[in-house]
Amino acid sequence: MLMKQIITRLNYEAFLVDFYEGNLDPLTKNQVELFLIENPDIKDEFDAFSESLFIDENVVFEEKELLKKSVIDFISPEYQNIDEFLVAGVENELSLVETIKFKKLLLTNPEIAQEYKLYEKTVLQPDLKITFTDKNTLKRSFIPVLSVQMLKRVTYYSAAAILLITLLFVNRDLFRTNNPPEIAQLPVLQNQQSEVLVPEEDQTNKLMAINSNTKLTENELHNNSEITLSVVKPEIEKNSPDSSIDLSTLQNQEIIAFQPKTELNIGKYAYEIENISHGGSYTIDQYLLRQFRKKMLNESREEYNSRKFSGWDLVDLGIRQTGKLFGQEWQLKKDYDNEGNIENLAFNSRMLSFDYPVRK
Amino acid sequence: MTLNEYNKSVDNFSDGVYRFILKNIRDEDKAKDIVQDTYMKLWEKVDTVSADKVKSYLFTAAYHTMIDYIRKNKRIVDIEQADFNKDITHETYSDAKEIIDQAVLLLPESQRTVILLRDYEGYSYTDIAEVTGLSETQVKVYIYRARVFLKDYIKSADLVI
Repeated sequence: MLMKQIITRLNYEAFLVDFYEGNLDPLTKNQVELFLIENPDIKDEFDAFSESLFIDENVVFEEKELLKKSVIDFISPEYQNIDEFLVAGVENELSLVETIKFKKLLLTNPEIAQEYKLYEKTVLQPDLKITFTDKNTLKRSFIPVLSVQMLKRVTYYSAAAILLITLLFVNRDLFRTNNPPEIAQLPVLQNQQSEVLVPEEDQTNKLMAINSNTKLTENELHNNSEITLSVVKPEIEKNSPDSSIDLSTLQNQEIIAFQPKTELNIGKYAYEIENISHGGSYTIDQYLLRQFRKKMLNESREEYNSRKFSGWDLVDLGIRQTGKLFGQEWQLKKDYDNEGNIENLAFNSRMLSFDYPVRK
Repeated sequence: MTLNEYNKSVDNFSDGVYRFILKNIRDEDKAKDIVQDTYMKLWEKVDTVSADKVKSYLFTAAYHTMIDYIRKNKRIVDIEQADFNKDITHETYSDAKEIIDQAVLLLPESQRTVILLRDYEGYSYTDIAEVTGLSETQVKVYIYRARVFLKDYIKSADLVI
């Protein structure tokens, strides 16, 4: 509406207020400025008006504290609401200034002071003679923190243990140290010039070969199960087995057995030999047991050749893995007799230790 | 929270938790059970509760366990109306402590809880609000009402004596 009006001495106030507040469009603003130039007396009036609206924020009222009221000031003349302040006193909710005023009030008013004493009695005091006597039942001695990785490991070990136990029950021959019956046995033929291969037709994975050209003693064979083809080099002739050998006469004689490695070329009768053991060959479960003792129980070849496997080895494994969970190196120490039987068990940790002989 | 810190919390706070619960429910065996449950809960959360928050956690867990117990036993009473309308009958007291103990028993559950936490454990209004799940204003109101009730009870008992 103002924009369409002409600025005159009769209506200029409204334009000046909007001009001061910056509410005018550029055209009207120019009209106001022109009007002020044409009317110097009104310009003086406008300048005075502008100065009066200027706010100096540095100017402050310095006596605010005098205007403030404390809780004491809220107490009615008849002390009807005195309880609120007495409770505030008991609860230590009063400021220092309020406390000083409050104490003055108590000194000057015995009735209020008496009431305050009653409030002071409402502060409960615990009976320190009452204690919880079963603290030891609450305390813990360790924190089993199982990470996902540890849980996986426990699961794997458990599965391996179950598999092993199953195998043990399925094939009890594992406990035997004698030669497995299904393995064909051959003697060391000292005077035989050609190698002999005596595979039973259905046992191609249990082939045995004897190389009489390679003069290996029993001890050499026994102590070196990693003898390779280059050492034994069993170039087995096509016509083997030698028909001159009467297998029935060899049953009770000492034998050497070779376990073929992965590479097996039946056509050329060339065998790559990985492992040689004295007195027996491996069935699958025997191989698994051997790997178990080697990798899980950290037994050396000498140990798993000379010691018999028993249920205590599983217990040992369990103890070792439990120890790992708690960051400890626990182990069931087993002493063996000359025949490879356990004769003594020992365990030692911070929490438990024992040492006792095993009944045979 | 380490194992050591957990066991230290048993030494430092189990007495307080026990007294707090016992004063509320007045059943020693149940109070012990609640303490056991409380520390069992703490043990289950031992990885997540920090040592500086353990006291608050214990009292919060104990309080909620106690409330569950009270509700099961149907002993909870209406916060706003209970006890204040009762006719107070004073027995023979041997000392002021006995009077105040008796008066505390007459407090409504919520008022008793907040004033015990305040006086026994020295908790701030904020801490009590955190433990009980009440607002700070509610805590202040309950404490005020509890003190007024206790003061009136003591006053009337004094008159009887």
